[in-house]
Amino acid sequence: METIQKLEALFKEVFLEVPTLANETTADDIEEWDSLTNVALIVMIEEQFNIRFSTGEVETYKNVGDLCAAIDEKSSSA
Amino acid sequence: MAENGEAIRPADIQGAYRGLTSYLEARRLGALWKKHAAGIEIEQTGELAVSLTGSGTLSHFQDVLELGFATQGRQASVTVGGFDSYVSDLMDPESPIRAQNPDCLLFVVDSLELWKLADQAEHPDQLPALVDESVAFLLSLLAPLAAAGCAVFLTNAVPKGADSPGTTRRSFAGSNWRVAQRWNETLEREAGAGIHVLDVCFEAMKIGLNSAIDYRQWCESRLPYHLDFVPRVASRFVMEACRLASADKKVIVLDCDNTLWGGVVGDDGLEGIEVGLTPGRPKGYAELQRFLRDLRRTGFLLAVCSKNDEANVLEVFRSHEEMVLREEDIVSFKVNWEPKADNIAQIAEELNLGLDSFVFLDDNPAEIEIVEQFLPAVETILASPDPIETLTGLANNPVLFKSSVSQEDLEKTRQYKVEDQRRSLAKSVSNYDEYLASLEMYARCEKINSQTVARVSQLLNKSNQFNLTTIRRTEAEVLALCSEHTARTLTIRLGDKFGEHGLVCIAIAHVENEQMTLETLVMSCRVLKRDVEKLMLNALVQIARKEGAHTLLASWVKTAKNGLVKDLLDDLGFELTASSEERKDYRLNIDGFSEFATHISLT
Repeated sequence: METIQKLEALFKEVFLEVPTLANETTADDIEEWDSLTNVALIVMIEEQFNIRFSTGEVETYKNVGDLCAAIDEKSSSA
Repeated sequence: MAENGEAIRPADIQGAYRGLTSYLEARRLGALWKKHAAGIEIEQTGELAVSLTGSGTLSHFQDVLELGFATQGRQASVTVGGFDSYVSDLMDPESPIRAQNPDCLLFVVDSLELWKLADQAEHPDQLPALVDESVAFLLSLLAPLAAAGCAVFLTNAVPKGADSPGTTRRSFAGSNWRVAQRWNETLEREAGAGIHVLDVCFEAMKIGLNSAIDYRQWCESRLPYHLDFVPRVASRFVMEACRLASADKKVIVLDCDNTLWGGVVGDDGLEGIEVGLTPGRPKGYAELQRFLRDLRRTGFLLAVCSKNDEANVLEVFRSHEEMVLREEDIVSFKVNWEPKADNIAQIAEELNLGLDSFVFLDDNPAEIEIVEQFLPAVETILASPDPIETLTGLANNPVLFKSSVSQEDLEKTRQYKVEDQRRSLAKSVSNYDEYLASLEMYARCEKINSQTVARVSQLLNKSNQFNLTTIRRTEAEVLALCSEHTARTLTIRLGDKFGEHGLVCIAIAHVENEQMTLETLVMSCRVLKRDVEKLMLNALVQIARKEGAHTLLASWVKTAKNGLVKDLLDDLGFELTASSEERKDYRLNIDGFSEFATHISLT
C-alpha cells in the first residue's frame, strides 16, 4: 500500500469526514483538522510508522505530499 | 470485545477503559461504545455536570472523560474552560464553567509550567515560599466551588524526566524536580475539605516520566501530558469521582484456602500451606496478606469466611510462624460449612454495618456467584490463582479507593513510632557492637523437621556465597539424611525488633569416632554480620560435646561464588591443616573452645 493510502486510513480514525487524500491536500480541506487534532494525528502517524518527528518539524510541511515524503524518508532510514 | 451477537458486559467495557494505554485506543473504544451503547446494560445513575480547567491544552480530555463517565452509567456533559484562562473560568460568575454549576471539576496543573516559578525567584532559596504561595492561590480559587458542593480534583505535579540524573536535580532548590516535590508536599498538606488531590504523579511514575509528559508536544501545543497519558489521567479522575458518589467500603471478607494462602489447610496441614518468607508462591501470598494488613491500617475491617474446620483455620492464624495476618487483625471469623451469604449477613449484623459497605474476596467462582445472587449489595472480587495478580488487582480496584482517610483510620502513632525508633537507633548507635545489641535479636535453634525441610532444601540449593562446601540436596535427600544415625542437623531461625527473618542458617554434620565433621554450613546473605554463624558454631560444639567428640573437622571448597567464606573458618578459630587452590581443610579442638558471645538471645 502506498504511504498516502495508509495515511488515509489513519485520517479516518481521527476525522469524521475525510476526502480522498492527494499530495495537494492541506489542513484547510478538512474541517476538523486544527492544531489539536493535528497532535493526535501526529502521535498516531508516529506509532503506525514507527518514526519520530523533531520539535517544530511538522509545521514546516505545507501539505499531505510533504508529510508523505517525510514519512517515507524517515521509515527508509529507520 | 464481542463485535457482533454476543452482548458486551459492563465490566468488560469498564475494564477496557481502565486499561487504556493510548489516545488512539480511547478513540476506538469511544467509537465501539457509540455503536453498541444501547445494547450494554449499565445501570444509569443520573446525569453529571463535569468541568475541566487548568493550565495548558485540555480539549483532548473531553471525549475521553465523557466516555469514561458513560461506561460508569453517568451521562456526563463536560465543559472545558478556555486555554490557560482558569482564573477567569473560576472567578467570573459568567464563565461557562461557573454557569454550568458543576457536580465535579478537574483542575489540571501543567507541570512544566510550574517550573517557571523558578524564573520569578531572584534566589533559589525563595522558591519554596513561591511554590507555597502558588498552591495557596490555586486552592483559594477552588475553595468557593468546593464549598458549594462541587467535588474538586486537583492534579499534583509530575517532575520532568529530562532532568539532571546527578545531584544538581536533588540538591539545587531551583530544579524542576525540587519544585515539583515541594508543590506536591504542600498540596497534600493544604488541600482541604472538598478538594481532592488527583495523584497523577504516581500514575506517571508507573509508566515512566518520559511517557507521561512529552516535552515536544508541550513545546508545540502546550499539552500538559503526553497524548497517550491522557486516558490514564482521565480514568483515574472518573474512578475517583464516581467513587465519591457511593459510600466507602468498610469491610473486606476473606476466603482462606487458595485466597489468603496457597493450598488447602484441611488437606495440606499447617506446614503444607503456601505462605511466608520462602521465595515464590509463599512469598506472594505473604505479600498479598501484607497488602490486606495495610488496608486494615487505613481503616478497613478484615473478616474471614471460610468453609473449613474452625480449629484448622484458627491454628494457621495463631501458630503459623510466617503468616502476616494474625488473629488480632481479623474482626470476625466465620469458619463453618454454612452458606457464605448467610455468614456475611451475620457479620454485617454483628458489626452493625450495611451490606453495601462489604467486599468479598474468594477464589471460587461458585461462591462469588452465590454471594452476588443472595447479597447483591456486596461487592465481590474473584481471587486469581496467582497471589500477586490478586494483589495488583486489589491495588487498582476502584472499589477499594477511599475518598479520604480520617485520623482515626490511621494508626499513625504506631507507624511514626517505628520510624522514630529506626531514626533514633541510627543516631544513638556509635559502634557496630552497640548496633547489634540494639537490634534485640532472638533465634531458635532446632533440628531439620517436616515443617522446615522445604525451606532447608531451598536454601541449600540457592545459596552460593555463604556456603562452605556447596553440597546441593533435594527435599527427599534432606529427609533421607536426617534419618542417618550419624547425622546431626541444625537450623537457625532469626528475628529482631523489626520483624522476622525466617530460617536463615543450616548446618549438617556427622558424628563418628569422637569426631564431628561439618559437611555443610550455609547462611542466607540477608543476615550477614549478625553473628549467626558464631551462634551456629556454639550450638554445634554443644552437640559435639554431648556426643563425646573432641575435634570438629570442616572444609572450605572453592566455587566460583563462595569467596565470601574463604577465611570464615580461620575467623572462627579453626586451625588450618591442609590448603590448596581448590580447598582448605580445618580442625577445631573442641575441648579448648570457648563459646562466642553474640547479641542473639535464644528462645
